[in-house]
Amino acid sequence: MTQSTTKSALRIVAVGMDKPTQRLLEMVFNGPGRGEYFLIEQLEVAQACIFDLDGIEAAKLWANYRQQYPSLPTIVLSLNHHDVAGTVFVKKPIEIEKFLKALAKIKQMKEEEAATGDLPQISVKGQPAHLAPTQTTREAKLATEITVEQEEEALHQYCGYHSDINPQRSEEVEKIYYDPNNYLQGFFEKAFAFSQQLETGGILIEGLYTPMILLSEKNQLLCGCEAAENQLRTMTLLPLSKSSHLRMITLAETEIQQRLATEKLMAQSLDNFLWKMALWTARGKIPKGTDLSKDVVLVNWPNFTRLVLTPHALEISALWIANPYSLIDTAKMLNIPQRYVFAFFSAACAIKLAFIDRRTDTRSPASSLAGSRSEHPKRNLFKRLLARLRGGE
Amino acid sequence: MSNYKLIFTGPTGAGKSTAIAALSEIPVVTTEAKSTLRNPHQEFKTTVTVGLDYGLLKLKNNDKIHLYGTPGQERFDFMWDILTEGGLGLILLIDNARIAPLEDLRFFLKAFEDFIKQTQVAVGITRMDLSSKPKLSEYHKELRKLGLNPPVFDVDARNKKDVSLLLQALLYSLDPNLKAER
Ligand SMILES: Nc1nc2c(ncn2[C@@H]2O[C@H](COP(=O)(O)OP(=O)(O)O)[C@@H](O)[C@H]2O)c(=O)[nH]1
Ligand SMILES: [Mg+2]
Repeated sequence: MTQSTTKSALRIVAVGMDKPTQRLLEMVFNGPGRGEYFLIEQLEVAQACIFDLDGIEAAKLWANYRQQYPSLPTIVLSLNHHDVAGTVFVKKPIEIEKFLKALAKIKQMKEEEAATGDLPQISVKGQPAHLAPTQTTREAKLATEITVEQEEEALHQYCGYHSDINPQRSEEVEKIYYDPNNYLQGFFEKAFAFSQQLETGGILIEGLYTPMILLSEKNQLLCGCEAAENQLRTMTLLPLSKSSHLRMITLAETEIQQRLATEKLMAQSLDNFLWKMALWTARGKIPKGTDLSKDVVLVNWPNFTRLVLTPHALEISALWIANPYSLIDTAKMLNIPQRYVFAFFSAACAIKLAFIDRRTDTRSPASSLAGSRSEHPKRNLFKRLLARLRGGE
Repeated sequence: MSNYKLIFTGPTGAGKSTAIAALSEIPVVTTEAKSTLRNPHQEFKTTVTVGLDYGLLKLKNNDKIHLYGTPGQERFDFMWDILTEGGLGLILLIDNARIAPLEDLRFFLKAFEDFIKQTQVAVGITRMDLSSKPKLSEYHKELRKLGLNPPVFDVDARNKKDVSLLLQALLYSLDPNLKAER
């Protein structure tokens, strides 16, 4: 961050937040926030506050905070909805766009306050301000309706909302591409490729909210914190800029052993990490330059028992293994929304399981669909068995 | 009402009984199958009893899917042809903690070669929590040499979802244009 932006930057304090999330906030401030915000430590000199309501003693902390700073503009972060009067709410996992909007709102409140010398009231829906509910009520809600809500939300996070496009219309086609290299995904794919070339040791990535170590031989990712999921998802949507100081460092086996002995590192599957990251970043789009009319090659079935399973991924795999089809024809053949085909393709590309066969001629959709396989005589039985398996899970 | 069967095979300890139990509506029973074994080194025929795992899945219209687990002992492979007759497809479980899992893979693919040609196979690699090698990519490599490219999943036979996914993948392999009825 440069000196000039710091001067006018809004001083924001984070309360009830762990270090990794704070680090993430800083990255948002410096990246898409364009240095308009600045994270500070002391509440006394803060111009605004971001309060995490999911911490251990959050309710107590909140009561104290509100008593001491009743009028400090505040963004409330939580996994569950909280309509706390006079605050701006942002649901976790944090969506960058929504978070930036909330920040802009806070900034505007500050400016209005400066202009009128008065505290603006926002979104008080005729009810008294209430404090955060107790831990138990929040857990109770989590167990029931929230899970369904979150499942649906997760689906959108993995596959986006885009409706089908007409491949003949270039203005529609443009919208389905994204460039992995503009995001963390591109950086991780490079790191992954790099680590695959190592005979021993691994790759350390520094500059994220937590250090991460890639061990491709073991298909492991070592990570400093447990609940990295939400932070990671937010990170994946951050456009990478020159200001994001990411570094790749090779680690020798002994250095890794040393870190394992001294630091609390959690291991997770590297494949699933890259797969998820690609889904989150792509959100139903496909990598820039993907030819829509050429056939997809799926090298082999992904290990679906240990990967996020997106809608129709099993059918798409079976189809591609039996016969290559283009992305557009696949959606047509299976009669499913294109975004599910795109999402699966992007994830499979990220772990090098899928690619476009550039050798194939562009076929007319009619001719390729004509070659589709005839119906299996036991299709009806299979349908009922599938329904039984799905229902009984 | 019709009857169908699904075959589970693999070496002893690979998790066949456990996988069948995960899917079956009834407690898995080990049926005694008596068979006459012609020992090439002896003049006589000897009668042996082999344990055959059996489970059952019932569908809405009362169609029955009979789940059969082959006896793991390779010396009973004379039974396999009879057992697979009319079967829908093959679930092959390979125990990754055994001495030579890739050899096990080759052995069972060879033994069920004709059945696989007529239907499809889905391969579940079990006990990967105990032994992470060989990796799934090595299984794929081995299968490709044999001209096969079936689903190969990391499966814990004690986990119903794993077993169910493997079976779903087998069904889609048999008919990719399949859609579950809702
Ligand atoms: N640790 C571990 N144990 C497993 C796994 N799959 C199955 N088992 C266990 O392996 C043992 C042998 O399984 P079983 O079903 O009897 O094998 P079968 O001989 O093929 O019928 C049982 O105790 C199972 O609970 C796995 O993925 N990991
Ligand atoms: Mg058994």
